[in-house]
Amino acid sequence: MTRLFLAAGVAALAIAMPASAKPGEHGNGGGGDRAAQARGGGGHDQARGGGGNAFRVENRGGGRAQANVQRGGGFQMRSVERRGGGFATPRVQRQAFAFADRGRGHADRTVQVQRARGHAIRMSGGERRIERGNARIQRVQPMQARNLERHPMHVDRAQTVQNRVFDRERFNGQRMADRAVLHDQFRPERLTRIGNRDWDDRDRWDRGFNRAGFIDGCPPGLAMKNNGCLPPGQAKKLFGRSIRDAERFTTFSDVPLGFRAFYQDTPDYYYRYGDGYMYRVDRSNDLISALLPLIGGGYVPGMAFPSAYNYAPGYTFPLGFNDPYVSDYYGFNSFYPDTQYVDYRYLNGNVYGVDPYSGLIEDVIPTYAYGYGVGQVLPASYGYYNVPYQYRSMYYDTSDNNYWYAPGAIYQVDPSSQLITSVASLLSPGLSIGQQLPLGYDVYNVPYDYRQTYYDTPDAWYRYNNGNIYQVDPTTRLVTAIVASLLT
Amino acid sequence: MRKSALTLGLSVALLSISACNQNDAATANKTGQTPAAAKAAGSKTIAAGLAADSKFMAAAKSAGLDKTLAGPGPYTVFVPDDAAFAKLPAGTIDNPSDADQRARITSILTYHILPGTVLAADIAKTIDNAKGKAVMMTVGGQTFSAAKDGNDIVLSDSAGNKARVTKADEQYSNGVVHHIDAVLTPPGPGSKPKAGQ
Repeated sequence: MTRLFLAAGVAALAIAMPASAKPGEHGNGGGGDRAAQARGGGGHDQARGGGGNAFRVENRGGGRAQANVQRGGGFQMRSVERRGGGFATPRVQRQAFAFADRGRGHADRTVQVQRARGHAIRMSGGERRIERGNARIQRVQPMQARNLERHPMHVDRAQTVQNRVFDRERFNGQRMADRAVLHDQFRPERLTRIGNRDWDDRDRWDRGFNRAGFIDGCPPGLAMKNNGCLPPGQAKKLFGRSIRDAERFTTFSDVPLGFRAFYQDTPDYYYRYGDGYMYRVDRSNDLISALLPLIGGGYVPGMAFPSAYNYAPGYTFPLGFNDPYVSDYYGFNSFYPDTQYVDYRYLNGNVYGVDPYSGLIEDVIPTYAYGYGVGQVLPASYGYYNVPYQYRSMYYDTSDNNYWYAPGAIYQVDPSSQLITSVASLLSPGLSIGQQLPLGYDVYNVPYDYRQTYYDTPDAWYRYNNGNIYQVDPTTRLVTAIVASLLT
Repeated sequence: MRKSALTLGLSVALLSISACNQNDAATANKTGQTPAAAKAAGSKTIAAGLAADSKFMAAAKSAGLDKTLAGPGPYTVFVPDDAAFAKLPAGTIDNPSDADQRARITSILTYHILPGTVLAADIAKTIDNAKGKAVMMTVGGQTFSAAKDGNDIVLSDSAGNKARVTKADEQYSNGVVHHIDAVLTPPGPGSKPKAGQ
């Protein structure tokens, strides 16, 4: 009898498992990857068999989104996607990667030794490294060919790997050209950090400098956004991976000067910077243990706001959304009016509070409002729930949808991809008690159900705003009270 | 026996948990919203009331605003008819797959939405009180003005384009819709900031 009940219990567990496991399966790529990695350590064949399913699922899930990018010719999306299968990808591919890695590692050691002798020698070392790198690539290819004979079913994939090696060469080269200016700025500091360095990105820049075929330094299909060329949603997938693995998809550099104070290396961790993110790397195993998005391309409080963007009010901005503009454009002035003590400037999707006298950034407020929101990926650090109280009963996180508030709107976010899928509710520039009724609120706008109770009289006006009905004194036009909340 | 009863209880509990999960997913998938939000919006929402194949709804969908208009609101929406969209320069609301273009579409649409429920009579009254010209705050944070032309209400945007209200006070559970005969254009990044800002 007991056995029967036990069996029933086990059966129930089995039924319950798929349902409860569902969010994790979609949401936690990092976890899956780690599992695959552990298996890989046990043995190659095992990893291939065990991870195979995960790889296929990943492919199917993201299918349509990647299609565009692949058509655009970008190698990046494709290979990042592959990493969904991570270490469980077929053997041919893995070996090719391993060879590429080894080649790079070796070259780095050489360069480091030579660097100690002086700058001139270092440069020649860099050149030598280029040759060696190329030689490696050539050696990788015959290796792949040999593997193909053994695994004819992997022909297509091996071809992809070969293509990717060349794509990567071109890709990194152009990206580094873009970053050259930034890079040179921080060069003296970089020399003090040789001990932590995995590789020298200057050499990569030399190797691929001036190769054509890219737009804004990004492959076709990957427009230059705040996060460099990294496709939406890919950065967060680097979490939990080896820094070496991640180098294939992101160009890393040492921590920029302006961030040194905030991100100091410790005996346990060191930091790398790439594509608008700060990566914290665990020293013991070189795995990325944290991903910190540097909002707005990395301007943080305490830095000087770039004077090129610090236009005075009244300046007429050129047309085009990529140009910097004052917060007025999206109506941000309603939320962030300039005061005597702080100017607000809008740049790269963020509102910056800037001290008008020193020009230093005092505050960074990320905005996802108005169109830039939908289709955009919520950075990893904004995954917490922040919907205003009066809307919480209506917009709460479920397994299918999360909600995120930014000035102007509550957004619906897909929990698995962190992609903003729609605008759940539009919020208007708010009223607060004691303020004067702003321009544009003269018209009576109380919802039907409340019109019987709250109608304008000579003594009191009523106005609806963001879920509340406010009472306004018609004489002074001051907002005097919240008289009703529609949502709670 | 006590142990087997416990096991039975456990298995029943687990079964019910798994059943709950499925229910949640089913409800959310149907509406794309939390049940509370769908309930608050009522039966016939603005999104449901406007023709799904109209250019306004197509643009709203591309900007992710269709769910907004199906949400609790309330909103007042000035809906330009299809002929009005046809009068726009080519490419104004096309190609929503481009992020910049999507932002442009969103800013145009939110320039046509007011917070709360504003009936035509309310606008008329405000125009009278304000001696001929009422300023209206949109959810996009920008304003347009309203004036009377005979019995009609005429809206004008920052560039001076005029739109006449052709059909007013279409009431829905989450707000009201007024149909207009032209598309209003919000002040763009090329325009000068308002005086005093």
